[in-house]
Amino acid sequence: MENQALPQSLLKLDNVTKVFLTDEVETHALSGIHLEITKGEYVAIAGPSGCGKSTLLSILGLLDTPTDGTYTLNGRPVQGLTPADRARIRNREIGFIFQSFNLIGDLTVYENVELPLTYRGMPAAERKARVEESLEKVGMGHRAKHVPSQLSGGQQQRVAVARALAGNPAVLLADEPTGNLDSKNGDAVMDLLQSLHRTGSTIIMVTHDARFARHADRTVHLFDGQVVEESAAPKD
Amino acid sequence: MRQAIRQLLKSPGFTIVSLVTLAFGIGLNANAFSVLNRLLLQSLPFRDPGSIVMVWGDTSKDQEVGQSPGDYIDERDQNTVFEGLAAYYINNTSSLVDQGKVAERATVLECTSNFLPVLGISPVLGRGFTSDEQARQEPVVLLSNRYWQKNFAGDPHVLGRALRLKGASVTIIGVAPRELDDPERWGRLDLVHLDPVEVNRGYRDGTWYNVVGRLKPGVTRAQAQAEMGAIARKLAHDYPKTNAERSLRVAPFLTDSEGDIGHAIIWMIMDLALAVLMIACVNLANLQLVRMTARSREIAIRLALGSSRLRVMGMLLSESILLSLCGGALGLLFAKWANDYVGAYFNLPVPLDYRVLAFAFVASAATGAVFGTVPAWIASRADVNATLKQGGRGASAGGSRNRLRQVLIVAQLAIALVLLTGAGYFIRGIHRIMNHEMGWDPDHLTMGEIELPNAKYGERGDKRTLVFAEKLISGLRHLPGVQDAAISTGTPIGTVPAGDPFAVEGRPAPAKGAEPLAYTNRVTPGFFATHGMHVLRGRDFAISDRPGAPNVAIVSKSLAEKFWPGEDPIGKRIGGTDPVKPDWSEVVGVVNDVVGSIRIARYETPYQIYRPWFQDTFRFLIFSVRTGADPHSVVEGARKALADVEPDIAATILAPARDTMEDNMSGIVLVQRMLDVMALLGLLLSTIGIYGVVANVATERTQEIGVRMALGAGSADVQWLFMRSGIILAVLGSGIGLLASVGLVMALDRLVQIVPGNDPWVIAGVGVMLAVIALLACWIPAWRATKVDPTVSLRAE
Ligand SMILES: Nc1ncnc2c1ncn2[C@@H]1O[C@H](COP(=O)(O)OP(=O)(O)O)[C@@H](O)[C@H]1O
Ligand SMILES: [Mg+2]
Repeated sequence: MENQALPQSLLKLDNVTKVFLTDEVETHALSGIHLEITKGEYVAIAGPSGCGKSTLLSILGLLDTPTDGTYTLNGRPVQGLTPADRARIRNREIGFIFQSFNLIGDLTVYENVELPLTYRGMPAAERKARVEESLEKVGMGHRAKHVPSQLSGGQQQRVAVARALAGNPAVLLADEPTGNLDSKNGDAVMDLLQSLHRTGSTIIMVTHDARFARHADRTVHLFDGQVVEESAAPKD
Repeated sequence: MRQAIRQLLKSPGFTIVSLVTLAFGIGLNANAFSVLNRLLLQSLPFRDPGSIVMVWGDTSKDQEVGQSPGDYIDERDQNTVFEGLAAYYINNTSSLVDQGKVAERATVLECTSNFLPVLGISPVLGRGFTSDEQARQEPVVLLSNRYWQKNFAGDPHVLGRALRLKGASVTIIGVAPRELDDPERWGRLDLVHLDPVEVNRGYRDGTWYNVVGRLKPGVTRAQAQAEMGAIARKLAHDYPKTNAERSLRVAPFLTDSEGDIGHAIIWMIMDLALAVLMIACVNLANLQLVRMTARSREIAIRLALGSSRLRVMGMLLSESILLSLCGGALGLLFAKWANDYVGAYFNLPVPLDYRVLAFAFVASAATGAVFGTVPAWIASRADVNATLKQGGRGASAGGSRNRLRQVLIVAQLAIALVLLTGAGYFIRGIHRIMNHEMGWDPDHLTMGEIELPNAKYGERGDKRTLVFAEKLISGLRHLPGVQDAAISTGTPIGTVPAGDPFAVEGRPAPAKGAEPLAYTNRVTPGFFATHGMHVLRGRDFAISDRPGAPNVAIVSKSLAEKFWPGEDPIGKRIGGTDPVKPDWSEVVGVVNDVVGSIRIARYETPYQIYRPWFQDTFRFLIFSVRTGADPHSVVEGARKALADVEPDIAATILAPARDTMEDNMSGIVLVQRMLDVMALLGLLLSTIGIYGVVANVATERTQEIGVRMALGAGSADVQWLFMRSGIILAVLGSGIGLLASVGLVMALDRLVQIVPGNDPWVIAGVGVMLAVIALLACWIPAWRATKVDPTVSLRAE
């Protein structure tokens, strides 16, 4: 193989399937997925509701395990890892951004962003620097002392992005990050992701909105748990 | 109202859990209150009970001693304050024979002719005693209502019929009213017998009479006290030998027959029951808070549509009160069952009367108001706009609700700790009362009591008693399986904390009142072997220790060690405290110490002295039989052996010693059971409470758990998140509870001195146990929280 010649593969799915068993009914959420994502790529995953986008993202984010197939992250196969190892990888390598922001209501903006660093056991001084840096990046530095309920939806999502960034992860996983936002705020968040991509972040974003998929280098189209098409965005 | 019912039916789980909690909490309280009501609050069934008083002898040692016949007659004849002054005592050692039947033991109220009039009651059939009959010493009795119903099926033709009581014929002249069927006051009364008090007119040594009087209209207790005090001084002057240190005390009739210890324990049980109810209230308030969260949207809509806060509060409160009234009704069923159980135990009906019903009603309504008000208030203060916008979801709702829940849990833990300490204090104390080294062996031992009729056997030292005893012992020893038999004046079962003063030869006489005391028992040879005791030095009594032979005594080990330390006690002499006539007895043996089956805190004396029964016989006696077999198997044989010697009398309390002990302790055992139930219920409820709160918080926060897991929280992080709050609550709650418990135990030590020894380990142990249980109750939901599937909890909406 000529691995060295190719750009380094960050994530690699080989023939991944996911079957949910509920009340004796099997749901094939994903079947035979092959996917390879290299460092620095911005990939959109598109498809109709229920086609398996979130499931795919959960597997990529190590929140869930495939029923079959292999998943290699950073050159290392992840099946058979202990829950503690998986938690550590989630903490260090992956940043999540959710559709419904999922900030913790009892914690301030600052504490929300600090949370993944706390789980890492990072010293307080370093945490402070990192939290402030990532809040600056999303333009929310002045709201550090607020609690989420005092912020608008767009602001909350920017804090969520800051939280995902704070740990300096290898990849950002965003599941319909604009789904709960009006178009103006949605655009602002998309611009934010775009600029992160430009500074070198690897981003995988789920969306059912073709308009947003445009921002990505490449779009993977899912239908009924299968990849039906891969298209590269026209470079402008 | 209909709306409240509909709301409750809509959440059946909540309703059922609440009803069960309420039923237990209120039921327990209604039961405790019934006992309290029955024993303490119910007014006497006698006419104008406030003017009935007891007149007690009052010595420096004891403020409630009986009176001698001589004193009673003088008081009766000299006073100007009483409408009537009656004397009575309960005799439960009499044998009663109904024509053609075997002798049975009877409980007889011996009283003067004016006893019923003084209490203000009269016979339901026939007539009462007359003073003429009393003067002529006529052998007449009234049947107790209970005995009449039981043995004669309420037959009105019993009047004029003859019975044999204590070997003499007596005539039934009437039937006493139901008011006298009060086992707690008189025992299970069979007969009321006219006592010939005048026979002993000049006798002042023995004080076996209780004296009860009815004040003349307008005379106060203080006036009566003043006059009785003057009479006592006159008696002391006229009869210094017996009365120098006796005065008289006029006390209310109501409270005197129940001990203060009993009162303290009953109030204690009531307080503990209230603590259980408080714990139940906290749980219900918590449940209610959870329910309010679920209904916050409905409440917000009501408020948005213009309902006033007060109205919303009223609506929520009426649900709580409706609920607690239903729970209270169920609680009464529980209480009815518990009352019957207690009643069967004490042989004393514990009714659910109007007072108990009123108590249960008030307790239920108050409970509903207590656990309903605060949640309703919080719910009615909800921010309508925020709630509606949020759609009832979201982590930021209800900060004050959570804080309140935490305060409730801390309070609950503190109450539970106090409850458990209080119950534990008594349970440990009762355990110590019942399980201790007694120094004698109650197994394989059967005992009976006999009172020989005075007419046939005379009084102290009568030869005829001696002959009877020899025949009886020999008859008992010949029964199959019997190893030994003996006669005595006392038993170790009832080794009471009272003693007689004694003197040691060659020692300077201590000041009057400071003489050493010893519990004295007169026993026949073989008594120690029969009771499984050990003669440690010297010898047992022998047949030769008879009237005319030198006076001898056997002493307990602790007495010997105290008064002849390092010396041989054998050959030393002890005697009475009268320096003129010490009546020395030579110590011929030393036996091990014994204590009674119920060991209460303060004995008057730890010492025992035994004397030969044959040197000083008496017509009241106890026989005991040791067998190798089941002690029940000799009961019939013993009855026959007795009938062979004396057919006219029955042994009373003829039963294995174990059975008698358990009988004596049934009250204590019942108290212990009630405390066990309360402690368990309190513990259970508070465990459910803390579990419920932590579990509910964990459920409300599943989404947050998912987020944290996505951000890299491990299961230990998640577990700690919930444990931490649980630990803080547990530490706070038990800290406050510990302080209160220390106070409680200190108060109890002063209040109920019957419970031997105080016990810091109870508090420590209870504190640790509660903390462990509280942590376990937090740990389970915390551990379950780690099982949350993040992909599921993160699926938005
Ligand atoms: N935990 C689960 N249990 C059972 N079925 C599930 C579960 N998660 C997802 N599914 C099913 O898998 C399919 C894909 O779901 P999902 O990945 O959420 O779709 P999308 O994000 O593209 O809308 C759907 O049919 C969904 O019902
Ligand atoms: Mg989805």
